[in-house]
Amino acid sequence: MAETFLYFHPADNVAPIATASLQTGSADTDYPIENLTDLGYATIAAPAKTTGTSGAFMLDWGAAQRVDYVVLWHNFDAALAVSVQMHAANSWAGPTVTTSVTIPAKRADTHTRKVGVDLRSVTGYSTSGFRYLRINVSGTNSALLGLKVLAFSRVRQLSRDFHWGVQDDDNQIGIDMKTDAGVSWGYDLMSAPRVLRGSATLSDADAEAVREWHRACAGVVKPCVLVPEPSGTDAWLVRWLPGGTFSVVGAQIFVSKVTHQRDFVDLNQTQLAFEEITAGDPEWF
Amino acid sequence: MADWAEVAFTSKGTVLLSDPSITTDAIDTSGAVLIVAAVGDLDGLSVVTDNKGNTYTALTAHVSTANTSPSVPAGDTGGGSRLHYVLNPIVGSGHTFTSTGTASNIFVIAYEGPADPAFDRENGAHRTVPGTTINTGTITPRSSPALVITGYADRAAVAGAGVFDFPGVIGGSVRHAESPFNLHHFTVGYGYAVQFARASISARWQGNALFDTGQAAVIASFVGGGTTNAPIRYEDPCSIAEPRIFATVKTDDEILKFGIQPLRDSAALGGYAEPRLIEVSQMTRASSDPATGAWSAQTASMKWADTDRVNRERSDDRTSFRNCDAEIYLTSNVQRLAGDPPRVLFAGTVYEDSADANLVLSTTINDLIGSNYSLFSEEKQIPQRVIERNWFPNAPDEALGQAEPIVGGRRAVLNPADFTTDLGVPIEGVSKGVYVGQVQINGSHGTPTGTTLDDIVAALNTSGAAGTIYVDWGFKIGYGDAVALQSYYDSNGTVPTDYDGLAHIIGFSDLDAWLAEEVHTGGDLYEAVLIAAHAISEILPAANAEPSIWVGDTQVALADIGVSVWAPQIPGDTSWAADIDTDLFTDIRGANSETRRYTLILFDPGSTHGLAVADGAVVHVDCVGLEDEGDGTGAPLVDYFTLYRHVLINFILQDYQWGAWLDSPHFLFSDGVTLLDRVDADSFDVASTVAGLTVTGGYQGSFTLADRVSVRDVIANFNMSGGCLLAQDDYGRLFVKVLDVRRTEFLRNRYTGTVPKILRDKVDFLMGFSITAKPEWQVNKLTYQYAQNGYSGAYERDAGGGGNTVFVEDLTSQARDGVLKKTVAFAYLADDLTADAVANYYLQLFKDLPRVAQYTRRGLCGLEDDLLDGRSVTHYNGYGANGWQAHAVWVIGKTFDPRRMVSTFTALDVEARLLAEEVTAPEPLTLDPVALEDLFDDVSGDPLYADT
Repeated sequence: MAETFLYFHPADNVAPIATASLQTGSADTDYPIENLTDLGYATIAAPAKTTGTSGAFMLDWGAAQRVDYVVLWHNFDAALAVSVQMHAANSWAGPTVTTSVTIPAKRADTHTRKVGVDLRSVTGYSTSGFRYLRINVSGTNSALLGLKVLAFSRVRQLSRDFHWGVQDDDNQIGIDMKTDAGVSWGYDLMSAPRVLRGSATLSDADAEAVREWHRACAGVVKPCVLVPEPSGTDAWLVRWLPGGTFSVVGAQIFVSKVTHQRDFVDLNQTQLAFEEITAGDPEWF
Repeated sequence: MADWAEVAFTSKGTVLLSDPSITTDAIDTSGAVLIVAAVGDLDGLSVVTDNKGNTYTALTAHVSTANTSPSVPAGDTGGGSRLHYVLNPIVGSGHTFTSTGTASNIFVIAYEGPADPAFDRENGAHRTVPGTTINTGTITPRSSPALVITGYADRAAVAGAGVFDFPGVIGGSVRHAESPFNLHHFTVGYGYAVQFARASISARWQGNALFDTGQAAVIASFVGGGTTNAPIRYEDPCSIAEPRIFATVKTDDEILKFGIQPLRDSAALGGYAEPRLIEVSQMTRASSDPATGAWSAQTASMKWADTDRVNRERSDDRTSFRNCDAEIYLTSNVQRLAGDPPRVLFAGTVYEDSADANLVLSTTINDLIGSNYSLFSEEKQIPQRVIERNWFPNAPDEALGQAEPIVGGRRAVLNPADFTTDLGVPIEGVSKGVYVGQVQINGSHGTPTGTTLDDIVAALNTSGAAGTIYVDWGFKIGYGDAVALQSYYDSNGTVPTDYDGLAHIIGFSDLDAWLAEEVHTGGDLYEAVLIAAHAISEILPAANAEPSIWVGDTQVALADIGVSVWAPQIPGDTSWAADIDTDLFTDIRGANSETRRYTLILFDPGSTHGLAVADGAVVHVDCVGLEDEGDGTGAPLVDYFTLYRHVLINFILQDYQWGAWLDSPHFLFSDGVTLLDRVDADSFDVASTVAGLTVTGGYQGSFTLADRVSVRDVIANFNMSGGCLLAQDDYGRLFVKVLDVRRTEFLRNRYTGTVPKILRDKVDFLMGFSITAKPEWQVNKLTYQYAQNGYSGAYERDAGGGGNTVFVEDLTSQARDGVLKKTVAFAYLADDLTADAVANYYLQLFKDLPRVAQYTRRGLCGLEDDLLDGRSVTHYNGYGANGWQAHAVWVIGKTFDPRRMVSTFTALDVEARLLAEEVTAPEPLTLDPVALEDLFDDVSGDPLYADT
């Protein structure tokens, strides 16, 4: 059986408690380094940007910090030379943990693909962690670097994956109109969130874990990360989708639900649905 | 858009004064789209040519009439400075330039830049007496980036350095300042900068810092965009495929920028837009009402996500976002990536904001005029300035709160016989003054009163005990605060005696101002009558050729002028300057140290007229009001649209107090740097030109705004009296337009200068085209009154008689539809020709059943049409056997729907109006009459009317 999908609670992301800095390069004052880890409402879609096309971003926790999984939300070119490194000291001649990241090609709609990096399998990884995390862009990007980093202190998995028949929607949002003579006119709002829907058969323990996940995200409110295929790097920044398992009470109140249908002892049928946060635009325009 | 950059440079100076011409060394000008030559010479008359055969356009020459050169004959000119340019020139290597003239010195720079360069603005200055520095005067390029070029010349006893700078230049840098030529004591110079954000700019030159010289300096700007008159170069809306909408709100210390999507813009575009914009309403802009001139408040609203409550906090910190400048913009990804500016969809100020359920913050934006509207409180009143004791400490009670009049145009009776005493003696003087008590002229201004906190507390306690704080001090501390303070006194038996306690009730600024009060001591006392809240141009003579200054029904005798009565601006009179002031106005510094400018007529308190004035006799004058300098020395403003613009900028949108007239107010464009005018000043000039097609010399304005009325009434009166429409354009600017009945001109786009294509049914329109009749607008007998006499309170040309025909009518329409009457007032007109022209405009427009069309253009292409544009429409649903074929409509309303990305238009059908002019009034005869004896047979050449 294929390995089950990875998921994370929002609180698993320890990047916001680190001090972010540019280890090499200089910051764009309009997109300061504080944006690197800030997932708050104001700047969730605003990256930290540099004034150059290569450089190194660094997180410092002040003490050793366990980091199992890193997600890069970036504007990097395909195959750009990028490595994720961890080390106990701010000296990078020979970091204890270092792994090259394969930056995938942009989608045809010019959206970048967020990259997940599982550090657990990287040589030198330790559950004790390290004080420093560095994302080193040694290659030359075609644009000034833009990056937001999520760093998770643990990886969560259920004991079973989705059933067959997972529904993966690609959405393109636009405006279309047509005159009586059939002259059509359309506009691309370039908001292209993917949607993932699936069902799973869960044990009681897994069902409770899903409940906890839903609670940790406050339903639709807090974004979290989902990696549907653990062997790949396609990390989705998602919210729980209030579809199929929600009800509307008033115009803007969503009651997000996750429902387990208990078919038998330790056997629960569960529908899961998530909508990707694309931030509404091809990243880093 | 390509930026401006230097391609090549060369220069040459004359060797001998007698050299007839000079030619530069060769340069390679390949790639240049513009060549500019700055010539410094003796007289500004040099001609520039080159070896490529280009033809140079010479801008205005400025020649100093002063010099200190020992080699120059007395009375000879100083230096002359002039710029010459050629757009899209023939270029190449071996390019030389020749200046032919007297003592020519030439600088030439070739520039690369936009593919469609255009000359934009110019200014210049010259000395009539020697000096060491000179400023070119200001220009404001219409768009950015703008290439700004300055030239300089002087003729000095000792050659100077010729250094210059652009004071306060924004976003650019000085890129070239050549060493001067020092032959024959000429110093010439040339410099340029690229201005990346639109702003006013001037150049300041210095010759020899130690020796006064005769100086001349010029400045000019060049921009991309060809002949477009747009202040910002928008992208073609039809080319937009990925639209983005965002909004900005400018608080006291920051610019908030929110988008529907996050926009990670560069700092040059205003930086990051947080994706908080949940909803943007439809944005409707409409012109003033074509039939009444009324301006409807125009509103847009938006909802912001405020889940983290940061904007609630911002709002609460300043009690609300009210009056913050706010704009809604549209851009595209292509435009953003190119670093080019967005398009303004709506510009105004925040009228209200409310904290809604679910942590949504709603904000309503009103247009600049509509933001002053109110159902409950007093709307902005015009004139805004009222008589207060701060400036007139001896003003009688009945004068307090009265308007300080604004006087514009020629204010005089049309026929002295129209207003007479009971004995039949004519009474002139249509502009009424206000008696403001005795004023001190000369003496010492700004003497501290020495008022202390203890004095103030004591005075307030005295009033508090009497229950009269509101009456006694409301004017000073604000009436709301006065009520609160009286309440405090009633509860405590005293007002707060400490600074902080008192300031918390009456306001820190009010208390500080009170403590800092100053008085005017010494000088002479006069009885004063306030004629205008500004300098005026001239006191006119009455029918008897003596100054038309009247006290009640009595004209002030000429013999009294300069003896017991003084007034500025009486032609030929020197007594004002000798006895009162060399200024042609009176600046009064108030007790709060703020100054206001006035035109006052002063009376000896002991004279017959002085006593009469103090006893309540009304002073009224005939005069020419506003002029273009603000100090009484300028040219009189009499053109209607010039006056409208002037009042709009100085007295409606802003509150002129003293000094030079105000520039148009601005708002800060989304890039956080560029200032956009709130008023399209050029549109008023165009309106004057169009009006001049009907009335030779254009429409004339005449008004005394002496009674405070709502801003909406003043705006309506201006629109009604001028037969014009006011609207807010696609750049957020207020502009006016007069219907130009020449079809091509009517259809010509005011930004691009081109005539757009015909809009086609079913192709350009979405479904829903309709034509609506406006029977309430129809009129075929229009009675009109004008020439308001402020003294008598009546119109000299009233609906009931007067010296002229005061109605116009259309008999054909009356026979068909019955007599449809309407009476209107042209409150700001006083001459027969203008009033007749305006009345006929309304009659011709509305004599047949008026109709308005409503249509929705597909997509963002609709954004290419602005309010008051003329468009041709071909539509099957139109009237007639073939529907409408290239039918002219005048856009009077435009609604943009950001959810659908479409614009819906309301447009007045003016086809018949244009058609009538084309049939009945051939343009050449109407516009450019030719004497019959000047007409010749085309074939024989013989005079056609030799005997006439």
